Amino acid sequence: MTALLILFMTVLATTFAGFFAPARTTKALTLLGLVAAGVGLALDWGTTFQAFEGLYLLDPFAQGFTLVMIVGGVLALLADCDVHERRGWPPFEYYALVAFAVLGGHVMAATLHLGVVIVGLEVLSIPLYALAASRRDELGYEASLKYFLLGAVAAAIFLYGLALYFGATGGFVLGVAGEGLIYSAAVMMLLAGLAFKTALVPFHWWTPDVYQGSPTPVTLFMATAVKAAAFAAFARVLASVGLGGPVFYALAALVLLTVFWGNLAAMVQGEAKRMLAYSSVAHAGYIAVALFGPNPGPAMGYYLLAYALSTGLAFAVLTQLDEGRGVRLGELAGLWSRSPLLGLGWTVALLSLAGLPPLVGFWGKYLVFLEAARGGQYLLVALALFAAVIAAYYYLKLLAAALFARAEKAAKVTLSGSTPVGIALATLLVVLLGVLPGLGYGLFTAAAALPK
Amino acid sequence: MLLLLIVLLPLLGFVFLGLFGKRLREPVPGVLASVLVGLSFLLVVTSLLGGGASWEIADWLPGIPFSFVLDPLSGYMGLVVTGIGFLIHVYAIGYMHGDAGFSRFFAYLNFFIAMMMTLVLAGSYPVMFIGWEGVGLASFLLIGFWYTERKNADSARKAFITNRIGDLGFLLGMALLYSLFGTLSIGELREAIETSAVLPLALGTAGLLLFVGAVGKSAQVPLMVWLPDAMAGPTPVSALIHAATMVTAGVYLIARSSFLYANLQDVSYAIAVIGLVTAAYGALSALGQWDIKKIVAYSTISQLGYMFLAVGVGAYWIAMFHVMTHAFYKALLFMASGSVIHALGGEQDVRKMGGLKKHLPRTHLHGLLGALSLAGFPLLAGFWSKDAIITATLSYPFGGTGFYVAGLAVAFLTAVYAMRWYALVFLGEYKGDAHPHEAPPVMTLPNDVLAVGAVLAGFLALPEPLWNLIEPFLAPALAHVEVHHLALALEWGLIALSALVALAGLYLGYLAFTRGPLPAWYRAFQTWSSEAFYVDRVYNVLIVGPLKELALVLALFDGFLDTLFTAAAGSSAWLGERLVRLQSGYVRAYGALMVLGLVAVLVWGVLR
Amino acid sequence: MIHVTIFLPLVFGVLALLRPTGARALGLLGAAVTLVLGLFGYAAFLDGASAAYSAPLLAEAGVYYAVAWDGVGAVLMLAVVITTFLALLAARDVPPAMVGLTLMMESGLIGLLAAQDLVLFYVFFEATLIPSLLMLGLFGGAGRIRALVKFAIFTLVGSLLMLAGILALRYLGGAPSFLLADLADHPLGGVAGRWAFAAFLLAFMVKTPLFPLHVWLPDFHAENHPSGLADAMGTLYKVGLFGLFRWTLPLFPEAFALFQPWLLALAALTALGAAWTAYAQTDWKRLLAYGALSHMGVGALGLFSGTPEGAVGAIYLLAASGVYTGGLFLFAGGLHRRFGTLDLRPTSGLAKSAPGLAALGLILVLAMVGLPGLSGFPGEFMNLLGVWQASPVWTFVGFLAVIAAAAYALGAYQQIFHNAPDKPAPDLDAVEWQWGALAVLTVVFMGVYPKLFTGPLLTAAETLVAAMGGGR
Repeated sequence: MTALLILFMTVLATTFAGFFAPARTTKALTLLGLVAAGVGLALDWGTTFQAFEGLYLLDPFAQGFTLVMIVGGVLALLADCDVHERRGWPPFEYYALVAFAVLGGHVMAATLHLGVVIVGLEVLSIPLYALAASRRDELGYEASLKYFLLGAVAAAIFLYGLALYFGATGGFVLGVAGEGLIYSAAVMMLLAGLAFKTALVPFHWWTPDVYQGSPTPVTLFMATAVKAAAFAAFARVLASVGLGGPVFYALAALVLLTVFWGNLAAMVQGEAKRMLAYSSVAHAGYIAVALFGPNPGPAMGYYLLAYALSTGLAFAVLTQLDEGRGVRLGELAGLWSRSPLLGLGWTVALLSLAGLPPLVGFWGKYLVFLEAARGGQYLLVALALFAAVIAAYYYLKLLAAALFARAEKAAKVTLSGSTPVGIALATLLVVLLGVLPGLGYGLFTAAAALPK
Repeated sequence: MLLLLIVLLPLLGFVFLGLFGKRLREPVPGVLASVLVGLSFLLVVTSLLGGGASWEIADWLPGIPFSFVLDPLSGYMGLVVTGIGFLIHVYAIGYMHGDAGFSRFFAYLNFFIAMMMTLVLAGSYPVMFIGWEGVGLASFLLIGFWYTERKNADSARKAFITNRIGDLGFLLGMALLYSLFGTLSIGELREAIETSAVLPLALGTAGLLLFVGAVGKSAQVPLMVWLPDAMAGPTPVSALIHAATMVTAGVYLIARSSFLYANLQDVSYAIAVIGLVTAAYGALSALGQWDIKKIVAYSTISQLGYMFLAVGVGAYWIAMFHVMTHAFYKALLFMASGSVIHALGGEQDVRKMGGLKKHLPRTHLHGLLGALSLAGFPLLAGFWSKDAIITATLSYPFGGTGFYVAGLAVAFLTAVYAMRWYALVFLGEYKGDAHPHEAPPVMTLPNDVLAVGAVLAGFLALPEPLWNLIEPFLAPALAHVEVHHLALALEWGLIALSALVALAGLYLGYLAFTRGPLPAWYRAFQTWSSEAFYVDRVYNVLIVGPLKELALVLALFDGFLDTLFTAAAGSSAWLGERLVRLQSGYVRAYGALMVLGLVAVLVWGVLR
Repeated sequence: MIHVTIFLPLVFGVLALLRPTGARALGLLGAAVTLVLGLFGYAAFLDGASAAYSAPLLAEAGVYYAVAWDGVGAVLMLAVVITTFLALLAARDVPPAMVGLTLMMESGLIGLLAAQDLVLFYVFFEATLIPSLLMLGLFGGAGRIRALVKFAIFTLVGSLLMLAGILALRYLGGAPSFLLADLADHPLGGVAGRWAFAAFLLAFMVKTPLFPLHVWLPDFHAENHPSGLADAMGTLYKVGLFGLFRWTLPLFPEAFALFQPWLLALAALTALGAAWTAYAQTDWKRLLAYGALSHMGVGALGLFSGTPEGAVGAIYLLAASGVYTGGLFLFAGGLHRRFGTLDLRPTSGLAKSAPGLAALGLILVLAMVGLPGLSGFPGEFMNLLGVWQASPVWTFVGFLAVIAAAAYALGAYQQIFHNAPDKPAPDLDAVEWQWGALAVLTVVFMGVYPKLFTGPLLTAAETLVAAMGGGR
């Protein structure tokens, strides 16, 4: 409950602080709020708390996923600086909107009531539409509009599913067993609506365009916090309906489609943000692999944390290079000599995304596959791992573009503000949690039992 | 430990000379190396007088000890190796005088002796193989001693590679024996084979494989091609390695393994045939050579053939007997040739020699005795041992009359080419333009010793009823074979016959190569013979060339494989391109595809 | 102490990366200390004084940080510490960062040899890839990106599928953890076992490598930094035989028996084909790559024979090849320093002006040829004894490489050092004397007194063969 309250207060405070304080203050306030929310979570860690007659359920599962969202939010705030600040970006509302989105995500994760889920979903989504356009250029508008329109379709699908669910079970609360045609349709539509947010193929279409068009810190936020929120709801729905019959095959098809599609499409991209956008699609597939296990919560949570740190780090580095047109691979050349910290962060992030030990990304992959193996899905594991080879190829391409290509122009990049802190912190965490995997995983083992 | 020292002394000489030899002034390395080999010789003598010895490291490799054994056979061979080796070391001090690589040469020679003694003393096949390959390496280094000439370097490599073909046989033979008996210790194998009932086929294969090794090392048909080229090395090398010691290692191997071959009639028969073919081939090729050393080299091939004939028929001690007499006279012939070459400033073509009898009296004497001994002139060493072999084809278990007749025919040829060599070099008029001078005493003295051996060594083992020291001495180390003794009269009759054949050959050779022109058929033969019947060229065209081509083809294939993998990987990029096309950028398309996806999910999940 | 041996190089590596000016000194110090630690570690192991250590790393998932020396790991560890020291000593004009990466690789290699937990092994195995990739990518030649992609993709296809196999092995086999001891008690058979075995096999065939998954190897070596440092480390990284020995054959005895004839054929063809292909090469590093490949084929023959002799031979050959192949790459680096090219014939008759260099080269080349008395022989010979028991025919085919080896190795050697003297070059300098002497001593010692290593290897090999259901 503390976390919810703190987040709520933060939202209010930042919304109004913007009118009489500089954006900087709002940023500090938001950061403070997010960190405080994190502390609040930590205080209640591992316990289950209910409020509003069960509408709000802060169980360890929700705590884990909220932690990931907070990490994503913090990274998005820390990495926002430099090139763009001089052009009046980000505006103060950026911080407020991020706070709103985290709040929405938290609500989505911390409930079993589908009505609350949709509220959380909208609280999460609407700020994102605004955030996508916050740079006020054509690319941003396009991204925002696409996101909004497709998001509306997805929301509609979800709502329709919700209605059917009510028809089939007579309630909005997850965990009520149902059967029959209507029930099946409801489940499928709920899942499809959430698959949009998690970016599972074939509901991923918005991802590349929106990720590429949005300001990079926003992309960072979408790839980390938003994904976590969406997966929280997705996992809860799935846990309640069970993996039997058609759902199983549908999910397996989605997962395989996603990992192959995402990776294959990523490998032919020429622009870093778009490449990472497709990679984020593929990673959604990997996260979903855990759902085939008997106890997906910890593995998913850990994967999301690992992914949030790694991809957050990668996007944070790109933020420093992006001048609003994206980052062509060639522009990465000589990164190490332009800024050693960026070079290091980039290297670590990509190797972690590629799933090489001893970095945190490896353990994320390892745990989700372990989970699926415990569920007996070896073929799925093997195929998904095979797709990871394709992924390794383009991560190497990104790495090679930055490190191994001999640079012609090597203008130094000077980092300012909170950026170096964010990048250093993320780098450190990616390595540390990779070397001592128990450290990060311990946080999530409490989230063992996902309530039905 | 004493045994170890026999090997270690020359080995230390090698290491020391290899590292610091350059800083020593000229005769020192040579003297040092000779002294070390001399010491080894004395050690062998001491150990032999002490009744043999053995030494081992257990489990050097799992299940395989590193062992040295000095029994009569290895002691006998060790005496030949270190004894002759010592003489040649001394000779080389004079021969290599002034060469830039003086100390290097002695380092290599010492290395050779160390490895050869490892081979000889080995108590198990793997240890023998260490020496076996070690002498191969020494041979490689010494053939290519004057490596700045391409021909020498190529000859060295050719020798090594050809030997390796044989070595593969040796290796596989060991593997087979190991799989049959679980040991490679020669002593244990002997016990096992003499008491076991292993399939003769398997044993035969093992024997054959080991024999392949011997064929390579001892330059038997069809792997004889490297030995003539090995003459590219300095002459003492030819004398030591490519005549007296290393090339007889194959014979030694078979004698060492006599317990195996004594039970293998078919394999023994094959060995005898190969030996005979080699003897004939060597003799025929020796007839047409123009290079003073190559004549001797082909004669070595031929004589090695005799030795294999001997082991093939089961006369192991006779083969070893011939190894010794051959070591004396062949080393003598080579070193006499070396003296001639030395005297003529490097000239090796016999057509530019002749008449050296009066310029080089001492060397002439050496050459004459060596050639006569080789030709089997009655009462000289070569006569007794060769005659023993030829007779053995009738009395030993695997022999036969055919072998006898062919052996005798080759003996005739031997006498002819021995005389040809002598006549072309020493008789007639000098045809070159150098100023021949006799070699210094450091070179002639060792030859004197060898000459004594070439004359007298035969008296160590005379036919019945006279004395025979070698057979009973070697008997404990060799397999027991049933000998069908000939009647005394017949035996001595045959001895007289072979003496006659040798004398006839010598006389005919003398007539042919000192008098007038040779008949036309001989000149045609001469062309073939001088090219050693074109075996080298045939091998190059049929084997070496295609194998080189195949290497290129394989390299190309690797490139093709690479392309294949790249294409397979590239197909994923192709697929990616296709998928990306769906990402058109139009919201309407995205929306439609999403709904399509939803419909698919619903149809699958609900209506199914 | 084992932990220090594993992680000390890493610490020095990071330090060397942070302090580029003192990198060489730091690197040498780190490698030297590790070498001493490794030697003491081996001595302690021989005395039976080295203890196993185990602590949970990810206890919930059954992953442990479990390390210990057994015969195989300890012997190979010696090869790693010696060769790394040699390499750092020999390669003096490399970019400072390479020193750091080399030490990091050393850490990974020692770790993967010590690991007693399959996931821990996997972690070290994959982690070592990172510095290796970075070295190639940062300091390689013009075609490095292509070589790098090939290297990485081949490695990852194998190892990622192996990860699936690892998971299947544990859960289908029913082992309570990924510890070797647990897994060995629950070998996996049946169809699932076959698939999992295939995945392991794929990973280790790439890393052995075996035909036809070797195509990354020549490019990897040809494109790496000419000093030979990265190549020497890359040679050590070819731990496929080790992986098969410890982590594959004992865990899938049933599947192995099924695959064995095919594997023997593949190994024999690798041995022969690679040696032959080496003959057609015109570049030192490519030649060495194919030569080493051929040896790995021979080693694989031994290992696949399923006999203790063959298994001992395979690992001994692997250890020996680490030293002499590594040494030859460094030697090629020395030639590159003199002539600025890795072409096989920058000059001829070099033995005249540089006899010391010629001697060093000859000894290393002969070790590669498998001359008895040098380090290449004992392994090759034990392989021979082992594989003959399994298949005389493939023994014959594979060991034809013995002949081909003489042809390509001596041919290449003579092209430079023999024939008419051309461009002269300076003989060994002080540093080259140092590493050369150390290399030669190692090569000779391993050839003359293999007993010190084969004893422990035999114990491990007998355990392996017993696990595979054979043995005597």
